[in-house]
Amino acid sequence: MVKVTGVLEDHLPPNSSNPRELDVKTDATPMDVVRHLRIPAADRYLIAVNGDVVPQSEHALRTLGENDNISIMPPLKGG
Amino acid sequence: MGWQRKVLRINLTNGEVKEEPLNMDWAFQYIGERGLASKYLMENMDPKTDAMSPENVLIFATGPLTGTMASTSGRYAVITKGPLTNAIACSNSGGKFGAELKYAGYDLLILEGKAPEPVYLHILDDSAEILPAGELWGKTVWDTEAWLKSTHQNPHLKVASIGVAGERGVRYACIVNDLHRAAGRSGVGAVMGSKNLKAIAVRGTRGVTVDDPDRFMQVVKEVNELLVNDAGRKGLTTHGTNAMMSSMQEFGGLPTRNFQEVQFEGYYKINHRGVRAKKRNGHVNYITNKACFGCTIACGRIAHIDKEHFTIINRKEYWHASGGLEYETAYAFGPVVGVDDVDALTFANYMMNEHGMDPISFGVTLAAAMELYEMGVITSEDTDGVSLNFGNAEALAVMSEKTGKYEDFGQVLGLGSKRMCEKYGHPELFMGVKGQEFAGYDARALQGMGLGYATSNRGACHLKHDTFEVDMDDQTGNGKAKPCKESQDFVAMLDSTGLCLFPASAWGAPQYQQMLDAACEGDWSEDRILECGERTWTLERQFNMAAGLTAADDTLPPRLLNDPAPSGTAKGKVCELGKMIPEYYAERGWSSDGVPTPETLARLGIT
Repeated sequence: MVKVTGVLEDHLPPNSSNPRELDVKTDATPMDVVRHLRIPAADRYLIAVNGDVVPQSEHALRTLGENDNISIMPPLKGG
Repeated sequence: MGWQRKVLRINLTNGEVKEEPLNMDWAFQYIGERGLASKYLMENMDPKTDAMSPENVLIFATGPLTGTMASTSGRYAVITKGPLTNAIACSNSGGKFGAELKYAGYDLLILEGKAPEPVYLHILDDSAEILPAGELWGKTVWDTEAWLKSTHQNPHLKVASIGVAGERGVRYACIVNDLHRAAGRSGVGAVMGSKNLKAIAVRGTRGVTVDDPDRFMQVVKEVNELLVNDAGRKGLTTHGTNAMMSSMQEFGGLPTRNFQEVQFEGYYKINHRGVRAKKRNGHVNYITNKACFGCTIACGRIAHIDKEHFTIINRKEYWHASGGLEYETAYAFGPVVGVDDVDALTFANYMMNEHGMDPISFGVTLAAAMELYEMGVITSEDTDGVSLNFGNAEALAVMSEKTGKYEDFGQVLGLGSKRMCEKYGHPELFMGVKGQEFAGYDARALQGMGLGYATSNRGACHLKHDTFEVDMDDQTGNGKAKPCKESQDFVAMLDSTGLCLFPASAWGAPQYQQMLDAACEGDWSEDRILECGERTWTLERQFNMAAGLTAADDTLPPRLLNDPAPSGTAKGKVCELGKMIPEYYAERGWSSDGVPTPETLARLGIT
């Protein structure tokens, strides 16, 4: 299950549910999910898997398991 | 060049108004706005002075880039000793007032003493007069602006004023300019009220000059390209800062019910989607966005309240559009008090702008009152029958108006959370630092934020440092001291230029250096401007220590240090401030007691 928050929701197709289930390849990484959702890869993200923050250095390395819950959040900034 | 090289000094006690040249030695050391005004404050008053006494000094300060063609060049700051914190207050605002003051020809306004009767200041370029404000005293901010423009037959006047909250000394009263922008934090509006100064109305037609116009325009064009393509900027334009709420909810750093929890079940009703949701009668809260002077981001929100909503039904005076919810207002009137009614939140925001109060401090003070009420310490007798339960939208609406008008229990809420909690024998329920209430980030989820809160010179503040990136990557207290210190120096520099903080997702020190170097005479390198920032930060610290603050004030409430976050990505964690503080002092070149060493002061040229 993948959920995106904040301004990243603008990248979702209209009327799509959030969170939603996503079928990705075996051994997919969080960055694979980002690309699958067509979120601009140049942006930085906060990614949590099953409630645990994944460090930036592991976004393209951590392997996701079946039934993992992924949250993708834009950079948090003051305001 | 950049600077106007002119200060207007106003003695409200004897009515003397005089111009003096800007101290350029200080300008070259502190740049302008926050830094330069802090230097002037330090040199013009005793930091031990009572913040509400005539001996306190109130400074309105622009920066060398205020009013120029640089994007976001509308900023000015109000510097004084804050009555909420008894520390240095540096309150920053946007809108159009700052540029107008600069166009009138002034870098700084220095206000001293206390007028015998209520007055306002009227500035037309180099003509400045103190005028009676008897008819204005007791008026709202909105009515004050309308009266001034009508009385002077000048729709171009830009007005900064206080409401009854400032007149009566609400500890977090603010100064509102352009109807819904504000120098919001630390009670600078109460200082203005203590001087019997109701408003400053200014019209400036002189423009500004820069040292190298061709190079400046080229640099501005290049840095604006970075800004227009920046993802952070795009998000702010489309959704404003309130897009943050769903992220903080998911992350588990959204302070809820006076920081008892870190996630709020009703967040989706009041976030950037909630304000665009259509009600059954077709009403939509959000109307459009709005920009300050010279801004190409336009993060501001304009909204309106449903006419059928309980807050304004039969109250036509509130049927108009006005300032909408930003993240901090949505947090302060939403999760922290448990309310998810978007129109009630917007009504409370109207009250803040109309009567001149800091929404963060009001909301967190109300949250503490709600917790005290649910404990049975505050009762319905105290609150004239209003049930101060978490989630009660009516309580939010009623109390925001009562506090703005300084009525009934609003007088208690006007003390601010620290003094109120002490009054009721529960100081531990104050959620803030140095007397100032927290912004919408829980320090158990964002450890560097906790360090930034604890060490901020103006009390708990989320805007004087930036550790979001390292906090997102590592939820321990490891490695937070250096990025906290460096970002504090960077922001202190940025706050001194006259530009807004929000381009900082696209602009770093190189961009600010290029703009300053082209606009201001002298050679401005990155090292030099960042050293100016460090100098400002350290001088503010010196002011606070002279005012009586110590390292013991660099702390957080027991709830954040001892009670683990109950949910979210930081479930089970407390803020590791104890580990971070010694590392931070060492990074700063301060003693283990948090005192800048003689070597650090000598290096920065602070005597």
